[in-house]
Amino acid sequence: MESPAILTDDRLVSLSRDGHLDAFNSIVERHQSAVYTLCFRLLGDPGAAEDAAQETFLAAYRALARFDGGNVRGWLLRIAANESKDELRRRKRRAPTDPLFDIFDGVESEREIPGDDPLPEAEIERMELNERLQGALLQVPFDQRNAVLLCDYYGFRYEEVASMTSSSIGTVKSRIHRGRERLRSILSLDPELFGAARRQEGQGGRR
Amino acid sequence: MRLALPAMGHRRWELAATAFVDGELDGAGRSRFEVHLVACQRCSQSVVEARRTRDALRSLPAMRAPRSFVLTPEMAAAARPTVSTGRVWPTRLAYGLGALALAALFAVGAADLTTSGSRSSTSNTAASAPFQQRSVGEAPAADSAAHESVPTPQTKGIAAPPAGGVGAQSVPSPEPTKTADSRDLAPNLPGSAGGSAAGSPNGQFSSPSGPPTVNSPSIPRPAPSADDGNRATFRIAEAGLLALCLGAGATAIVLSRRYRRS
Repeated sequence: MESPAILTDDRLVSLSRDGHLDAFNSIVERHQSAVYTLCFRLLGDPGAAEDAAQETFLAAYRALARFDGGNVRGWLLRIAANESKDELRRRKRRAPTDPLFDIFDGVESEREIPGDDPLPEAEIERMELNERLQGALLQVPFDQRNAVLLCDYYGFRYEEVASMTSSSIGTVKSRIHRGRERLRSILSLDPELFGAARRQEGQGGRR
Repeated sequence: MRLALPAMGHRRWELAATAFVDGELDGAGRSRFEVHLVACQRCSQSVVEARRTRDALRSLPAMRAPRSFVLTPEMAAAARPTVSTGRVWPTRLAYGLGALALAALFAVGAADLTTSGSRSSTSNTAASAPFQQRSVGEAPAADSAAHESVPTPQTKGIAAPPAGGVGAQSVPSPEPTKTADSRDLAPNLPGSAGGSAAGSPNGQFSSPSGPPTVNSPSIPRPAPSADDGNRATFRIAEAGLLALCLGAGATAIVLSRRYRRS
């Protein structure tokens, strides 16, 4: 299904408000990967991320009337973060086992592994790096994780992150700072990972 | 040379380093930080590390949604009606129950207030009595529909001072006060709590005998046991209503939150 890219998000929102479900589903198709990615990065589990993503679009559909214009993607990601937080709470209540066990399975199953040719070594190394990075992300407190992802991964400005998380710019700055600090300290405990990153950097510098 | 800034002061620079990495510093702030950066090894290190962490996060691969999340007409229909009748009634019931319990609690509280008012008018000196009586007279008249039945204890309260004088004269211990208090309370309870306790022995005791009997000093002897029992019932009712009120309120909050989320 191809989403009608000619129409802007705002136009699709107003059509959705008039009761056109297809228009809303075009918004879904346009942003579902971004929403799912945030849910996955925040939760670290594909099943939970799917549930949270679906809930995000249901909640967005319900809240259409309250959407006051602006960035649709930002609005959806804001809902996604809230839904992920709720999902995390629900899962913790249901099964308070260590979620880190499924984290790595989750990342594994998410990856698209081409079956034909064997993976080059660099690719394997990169994938391992991602896995560890995801594992480290999950050890960062939720709000800091969310702020860091919105800023570093999605490229939102502090001001946008502040409005998406209903907080002040000062809070956002502090969360990003502490989140990165925490990530750095976790990653530096992983000598293989940071060693590899430094090695790559060094090689790049020498060339 | 090493920059020896206090920890709190340097924390500000660390936050500035984060903003610097993200290009969030304005012209002046940027220049100030750059000047600091030249001298501060620690901040230079922070900038390098923050960049490295940010780049690592940026290098995370984009993910594709594993399935489509489009809403089916059924899902949309289930999500659309924000006000579904099936879900609203328990919330409304809880709210109604809470309101009812609160109203009942308020009535009991008013009765309690009336009682303490007449108690003080009974045991206190004559100087403070008129003020107490006035406040007693106002309290029930202000709110409850049951205030028609209140005048009886009220007038009794007004008539009480001489009797209270007798009580205070005989024993200054808290016991007489308690007796006088519960005596006034007894007729009050059925009146303001909706007449549910009208059949209690106290009701029978106070209504036919009226103020003169109550005020006579010979009565207090049999009165305490019945009055104490009544007082306990009153307290239990009050506690029960409070619990009901809180429970209903909590249920209402839980239900409304669940309803809003789904």
